Amino acid sequence: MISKRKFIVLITLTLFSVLAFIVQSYGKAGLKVYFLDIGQGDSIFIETESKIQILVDGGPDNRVIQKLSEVMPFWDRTIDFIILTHPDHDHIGGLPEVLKRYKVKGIIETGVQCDKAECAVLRDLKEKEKATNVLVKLGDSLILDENTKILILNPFGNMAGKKVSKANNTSVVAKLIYGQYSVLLTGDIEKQVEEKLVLAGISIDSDYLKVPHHGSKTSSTEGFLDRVSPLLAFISLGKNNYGHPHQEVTNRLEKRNIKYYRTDELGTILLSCKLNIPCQITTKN
Amino acid sequence: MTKSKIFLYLMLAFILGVGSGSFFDISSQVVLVIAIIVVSLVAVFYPVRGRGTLRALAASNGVYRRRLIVLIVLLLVAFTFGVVRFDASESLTRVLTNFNDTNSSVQLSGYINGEPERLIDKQRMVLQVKEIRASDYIISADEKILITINLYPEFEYGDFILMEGKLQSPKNFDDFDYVNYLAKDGIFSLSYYPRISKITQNGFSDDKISILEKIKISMFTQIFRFKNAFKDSISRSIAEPNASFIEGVLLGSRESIPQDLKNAFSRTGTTHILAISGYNITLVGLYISYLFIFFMRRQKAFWFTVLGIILFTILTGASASVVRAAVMGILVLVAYREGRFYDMTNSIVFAGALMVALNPKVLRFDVGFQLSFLATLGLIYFSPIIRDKLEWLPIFWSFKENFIATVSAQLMVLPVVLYNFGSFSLISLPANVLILPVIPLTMLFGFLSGVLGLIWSQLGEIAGLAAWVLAEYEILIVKFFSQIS
Repeated sequence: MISKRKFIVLITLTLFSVLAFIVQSYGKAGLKVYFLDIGQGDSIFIETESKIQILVDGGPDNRVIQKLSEVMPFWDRTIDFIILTHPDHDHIGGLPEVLKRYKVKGIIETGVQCDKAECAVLRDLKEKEKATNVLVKLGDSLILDENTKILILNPFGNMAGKKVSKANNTSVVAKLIYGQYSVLLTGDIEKQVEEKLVLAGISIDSDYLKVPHHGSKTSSTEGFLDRVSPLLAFISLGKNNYGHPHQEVTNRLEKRNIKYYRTDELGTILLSCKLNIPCQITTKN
Repeated sequence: MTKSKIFLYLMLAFILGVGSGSFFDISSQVVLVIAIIVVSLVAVFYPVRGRGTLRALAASNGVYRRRLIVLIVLLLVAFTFGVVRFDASESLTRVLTNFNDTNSSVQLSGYINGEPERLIDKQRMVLQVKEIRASDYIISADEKILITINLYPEFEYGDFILMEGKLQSPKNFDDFDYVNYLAKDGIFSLSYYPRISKITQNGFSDDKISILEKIKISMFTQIFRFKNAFKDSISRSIAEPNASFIEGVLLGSRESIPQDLKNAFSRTGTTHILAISGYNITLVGLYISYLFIFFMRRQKAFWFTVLGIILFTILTGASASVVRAAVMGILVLVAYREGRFYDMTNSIVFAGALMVALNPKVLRFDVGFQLSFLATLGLIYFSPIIRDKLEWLPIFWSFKENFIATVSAQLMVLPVVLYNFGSFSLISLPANVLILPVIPLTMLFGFLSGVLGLIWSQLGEIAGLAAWVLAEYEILIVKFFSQIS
């Protein structure tokens, strides 16, 4: 019979080698974009090939914490950047808890005025965390690494401190570019901004589209879809009383042969891209 | 009959009285009248010098018979106390329930009594109502309601608040007796998403909030701040859902554990790990005693351990269930120290009777009370018997210890589990035997991660890695067994 001490040493060694294996296998891979299954809202987790992590919105509540821990390695307690597209409940609700639990280096937002309780809590936490605050508008870009960058396409002007009755159209629209691939993240923009983007001739053409405003019928206009001309689309939503995704929107997508993936049906959806190999979609269920 | 036996029977009669009061609709007046009549009859005709009506009874066996009569009378009195005690807990005057399910809003002010539960998408907390403001008059009160509000802004224990909203009566759902579950904590009204704002304590006159209450509030405010800092440190160091699991094991707070995982724990009969049970307390006690045994004699160390457990209980917030677990845990420690399991009866039943006397509703309506009480009985009485029968069991990895403990506790709680949940899973035995050996280490590393994280976050994360791996093992076991059950 093996002695207890030898047994423990053996177990420890096995554990460490398993750990090393996990860490190593985690080390490869290109760009990963997760559309997290956080219910009715948006939360998208991006990891670049050089392991820069960005969380775009935090969903309505703390479910994002559980979902993040499913896609992040367990030893990782840092998220590099958070992008808050606009301060509506279904986008900001989970962010205070994210800030409490993870070290966050910077928060990227439009700076539009917000008096909600959630915004106040987030402001306090931002200060406590000493996270850099970056206010963005059309024309700004973030170079993440050699092959990855983010172009900001909306809002058109400086929104810092601006008071608006509805924040949807102030949403950050971000085009994530990795090598030859591009993903368009659209927040909750509606018809007006979509038309503005089309008319202004801004390069919104992308391979993948996050359907604006959870598939609301006031968004995803024909002209916009034509101009973006995505191969695939993603709809981030949960159970809701708004009728999302609206039949009209899914019809418009189907008419253009754009296959779409819904987080309420599929759970968390992973779009993973490696340079020179076609991107792949993985779902949990 | 020895004095201690008499004491035991009296306490059992009292518990039986409370039980009868809570199961049957006995009028306490009737019981009281009968008791008074019997007591006075016996008192009047008691055969003091071998005369009187009861002489015939007494004559045959002298002293013994006489004592028996006294005992029966005393038992009846204790039983009556039980019935009356339960009745008294039912008939407290309540003002707030008058506003339940009406269409008008009320304004209530008071303070948050107990830690707000931060669920995944809302906060739930108990408001100790001190003032009711309806239309143009103010009523003083001292009642509790349960309010549910949005996640933000956050509230904490001891915050003075003013709320405005509608009240409703709790309703039972599925098979769960929610009404009585809340009633045992003195809650008879709920309010969902009322308008709520913080106010200062100055608004309350001194006679509304007693000095004692003020001391309690300021003391627990500090304690909960410390506890929250510790919890935050754990959740910064360890990834979910393992962090929530570890918080459950260490502090008994399980509100942030995802529902499907909670279900898996309950299906595998391992939920007791997530609550502060006598088991956790015993472990905490053992850790403390290891620490003390370095410095002092065993006998002395034991009392410091008990002191440590009391401190731990206060630190976790001293909720009724934790106090209960602490009492049970200490009893088990005493039993193991003395090695005289059969002498413990009186202490255990006394502890139980005392808890029932303090809150008679727990006897019937608090499954947690029933389970922890019975599990303790099982640990103390069955484990020596089972140990004798199972001499042949292998002892590696404290397999034998855990096997015996699980079997003896489960045997005892079986009736309650069947009554409350309708089913009992055999899975609980292998699940517990596989998980329990790792719990002490999980607690240790979880604790280290929380404490070190307060000092330097990187250190907390390193200890957290070990805690994560251990928790992951336990979670995988639970998930595995819940799937095959």
